[in-house]
Amino acid sequence: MFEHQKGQVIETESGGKAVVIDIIGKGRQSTVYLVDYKGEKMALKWYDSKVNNLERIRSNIKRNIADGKPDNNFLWCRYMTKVYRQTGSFGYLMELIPDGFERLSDIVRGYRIVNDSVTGRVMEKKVRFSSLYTMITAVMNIVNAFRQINKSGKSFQGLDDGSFFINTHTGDILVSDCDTIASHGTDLDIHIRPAYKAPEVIFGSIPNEISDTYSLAVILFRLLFRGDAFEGEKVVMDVCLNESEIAKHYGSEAVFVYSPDDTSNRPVRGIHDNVIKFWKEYPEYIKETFIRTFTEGISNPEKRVSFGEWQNIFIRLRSEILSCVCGKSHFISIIGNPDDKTFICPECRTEFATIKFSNRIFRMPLCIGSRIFMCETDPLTDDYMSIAGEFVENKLRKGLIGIKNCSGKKWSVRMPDGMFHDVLSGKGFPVWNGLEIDFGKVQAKF
Amino acid sequence: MLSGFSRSVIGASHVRKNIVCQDSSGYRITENLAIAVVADGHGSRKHFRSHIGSQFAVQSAIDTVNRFCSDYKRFSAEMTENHDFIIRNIEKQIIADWHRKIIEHFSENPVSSDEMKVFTEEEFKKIPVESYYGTTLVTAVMGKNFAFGFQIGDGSLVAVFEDGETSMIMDYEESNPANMTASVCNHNASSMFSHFYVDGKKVIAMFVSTDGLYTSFGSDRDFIDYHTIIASKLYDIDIFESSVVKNITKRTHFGTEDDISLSCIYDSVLVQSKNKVLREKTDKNKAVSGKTGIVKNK
Repeated sequence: MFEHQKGQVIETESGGKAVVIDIIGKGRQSTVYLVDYKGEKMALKWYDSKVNNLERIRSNIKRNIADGKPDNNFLWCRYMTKVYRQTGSFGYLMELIPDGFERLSDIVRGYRIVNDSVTGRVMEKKVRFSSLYTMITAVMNIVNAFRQINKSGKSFQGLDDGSFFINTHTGDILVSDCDTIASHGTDLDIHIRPAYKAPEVIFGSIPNEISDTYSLAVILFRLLFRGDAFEGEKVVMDVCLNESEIAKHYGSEAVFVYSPDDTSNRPVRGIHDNVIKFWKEYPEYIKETFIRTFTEGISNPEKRVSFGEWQNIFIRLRSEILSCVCGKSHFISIIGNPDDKTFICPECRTEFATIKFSNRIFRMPLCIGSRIFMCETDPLTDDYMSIAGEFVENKLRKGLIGIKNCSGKKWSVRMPDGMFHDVLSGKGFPVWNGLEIDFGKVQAKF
Repeated sequence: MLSGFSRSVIGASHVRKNIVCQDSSGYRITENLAIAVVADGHGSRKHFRSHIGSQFAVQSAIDTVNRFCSDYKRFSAEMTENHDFIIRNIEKQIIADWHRKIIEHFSENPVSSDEMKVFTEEEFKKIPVESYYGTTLVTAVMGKNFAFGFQIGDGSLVAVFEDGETSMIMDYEESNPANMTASVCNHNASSMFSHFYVDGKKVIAMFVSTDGLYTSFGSDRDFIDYHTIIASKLYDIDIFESSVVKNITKRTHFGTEDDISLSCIYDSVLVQSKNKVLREKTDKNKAVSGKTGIVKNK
């Protein structure tokens, strides 16, 4: 594959000049360089001249640059280079991945390989989310990235584990490979592993919103269960000598590893230990959603879960996190509760009271640090990230929990005197047995 | 024509402690393919069935490679383009096959009170079944126009090429970083293999050995030179067999005094035709290292 030398100057179509500093990485079809562009360090993705459909890819990148990025979660194409005369190939500039972001592939395998700065030896560095809350935040950000792309009439045509970078301390995400995001109906004919494709795309259809709902489920499964939804015993024991042969296990002969009706493809110990472990740790409604998508949804796209449904499911899952004072976190749906209003930490047996919202059937545990989000107090808003209220510990009386209104709106709260009082944004009030909050469109009882 | 050899000998430390040999080894020769395998059962307390685990690992490796190569012509053609993909699938299938074998063995042979008595109840509960059978695995495969190998855990794979070059060919570090120990019994074991593939360069012989052999040498250089020497003796398999078995038995008293397994596959035609090259290389190595005969050191 052709390589630019350090110091090489590459001209952009907009008249700028990028100077090659180093190679960051090499893929099957491209090389990514660190470049200096007008004093700013950027990444240059340069295509190999042997790539199919270079012209179509170039047009697509130009269109994406003109359309602009959907939001800050995308490492969007910024500047197109001129075509390099010697090879007929080209590249585009994008922002660098900031520090603190991990590859989804490293999160899935649980570590990344680093060189020890002293010995130079290869070391394994664990890659883990700082909390369940952070992980679910990342999941919701990925769902939202798919929503944003599809809202703009585009879909993912080349995604895999390498397309997502995640900050495991904040849940922030960055979507890369944005050159492979294209308008519905455009066929970039990009080679990706069958594991990430919807069955109909394996059979030759062009990716669209429906296939993206499936690809989203594949990515979510990988992130939550750290493995492949279709690689189980049946696939492992089949002698496959190339990717085309294995494609049938993701298309015509796909069997979900936890299909209730077909146990032939269960995960194998020593290969799929993550999936075996994590499948036990999620509530039934999460498992049922994946089962529906990866059984009926294989051949019937109507059975697939929409982006909006995924978002609502994870809003629920996020509100069901019990973060105990002992340091452990659990989803309340899988731990025992002595009655329908109390949950007990399985590690230290601490009891937690719960909140019941008027518009949903499940209860939320009352833990210090837990948050209520705008989308939970106002069903008409799509804002899944802005905090409406936060559970805080009284600074003077340890153990006394209160709620701080962060919503920017006035709440009506039933206080211990039995009367309703207004609580303005920025103000807090104590949690007591019998507390009621009227958020406006939704009410909550403790 | 492809041929092979394999042998496991018990380590001096195991003889002293009255422990059975934890190593296993084997080879298989078919019309187009040769496979050599060694496995080193971990042998420590919680791996109390590792001598059985190592046998299963050797069987699984041989059977799996054979399954993949059943249509040799197609396999050979696909290897050129897709060797990484195929070798990874072979590794996964070996792990799956090994797990099937140990689960079957475990269900037919529940843990005895004798096996359990060295643990407290609490300790025993924490040991997963696959750990009882824990083992390493090193495999070398020679086809007509390619060679490959894979490894999980410690052990060595040495290839002797037609020009007399001898090398420990496995790039072992990437999937076995300094701060982790790989084993067939590990969680996510299939991701812990290292492998290599070569074509376009003729291989005279490939040797796989358990760690006991490597640790019986003082340096990598001595270890590699040893393989050039024994490759030059393959022209007469009877002499080779008796002298190598004698030598590795002696070597179990060196280094870690561990069990030693050595399996070898070779092209008997190349062994004959390149014998002069190998002898010259051996002489050159001797001259460089200033030593004579098979290296003996502690």
